[in-house]
Amino acid sequence: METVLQPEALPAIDELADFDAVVRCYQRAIYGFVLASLRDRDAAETLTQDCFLKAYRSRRNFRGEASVKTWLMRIAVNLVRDHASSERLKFWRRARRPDVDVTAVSARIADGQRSPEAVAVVKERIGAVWSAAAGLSHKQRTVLLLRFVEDMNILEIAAATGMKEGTVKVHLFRALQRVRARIEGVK
Amino acid sequence: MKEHLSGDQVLEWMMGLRDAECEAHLRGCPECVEAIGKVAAPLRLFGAAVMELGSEVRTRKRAENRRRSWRLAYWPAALLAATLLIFAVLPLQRGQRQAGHGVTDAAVAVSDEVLLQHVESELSESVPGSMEPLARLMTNETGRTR
Repeated sequence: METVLQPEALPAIDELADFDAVVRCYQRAIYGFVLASLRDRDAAETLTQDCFLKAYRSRRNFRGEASVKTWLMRIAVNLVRDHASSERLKFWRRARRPDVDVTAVSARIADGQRSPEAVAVVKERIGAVWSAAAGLSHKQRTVLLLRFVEDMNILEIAAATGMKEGTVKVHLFRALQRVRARIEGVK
Repeated sequence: MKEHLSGDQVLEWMMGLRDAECEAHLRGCPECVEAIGKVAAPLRLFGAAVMELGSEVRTRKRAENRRRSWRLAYWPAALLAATLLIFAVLPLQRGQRQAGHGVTDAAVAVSDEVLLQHVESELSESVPGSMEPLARLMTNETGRTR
């Protein structure tokens, strides 16, 4: 069985010495973030690989000022931004994107509740956030995902995105307003 | 803090901007806890769903590796089978070719024999009387050169 290392179990800068372990440890988080940002499985897989490739090539420049996760997220955020801007004019690709349905995993994360009603409620809630996130600007969506998927705090998000702390707060606040409006609209 | 948390304060709380006053209020106010939960719960589920989707990268990769390893395992077997097939088919073909050759050789030998007999019979045929001296001469000539 494959061992998934927990980030807390690894020492800060020495983490990069075993790069395979770094990949195993953060692959899921990076892929999840990219997938939720782009909603395109192929692009998410490619960018996840690119992210680790870039990280591997520039690992000697990592000074340990931020955590490895923040550093990797910064690379991923830049890759997503570049990809999104290069894809802006490709309408056909954009039309293809909704191939990812986050609500499809509702049954698996319904907190052990197996009743169809409970699964339906979970699906509805996830769907509301998912569609609200789709309508956000790129920056708003990025900070929302980093906060609520990657569980990063404002300072970490600022470090990962290169935004100022105040800018992160503004984008996150607006993103949350939209999400709340969507959730309340669903009820 | 006696008043309930405002809508903005709920969002700030969720952003991680928490002060002691709000914290103290939440400890004794189920309404505000519920207000936070209404937004926080779907976001928590959403985060879990995305992470669940994130795990598919490993599943897909594992499935791909499994397919690749199967393909790798099949290669030597396929190579061996191809080699055996070649060794099995080649002698058969050679045999058929040889058998074919045998038939042709026999046919050629028979036709040669027929031809030789024909030639000999022609040679041994008596020539017209006027040509007899010439025929004798030819026989002598041939006998001398040999």
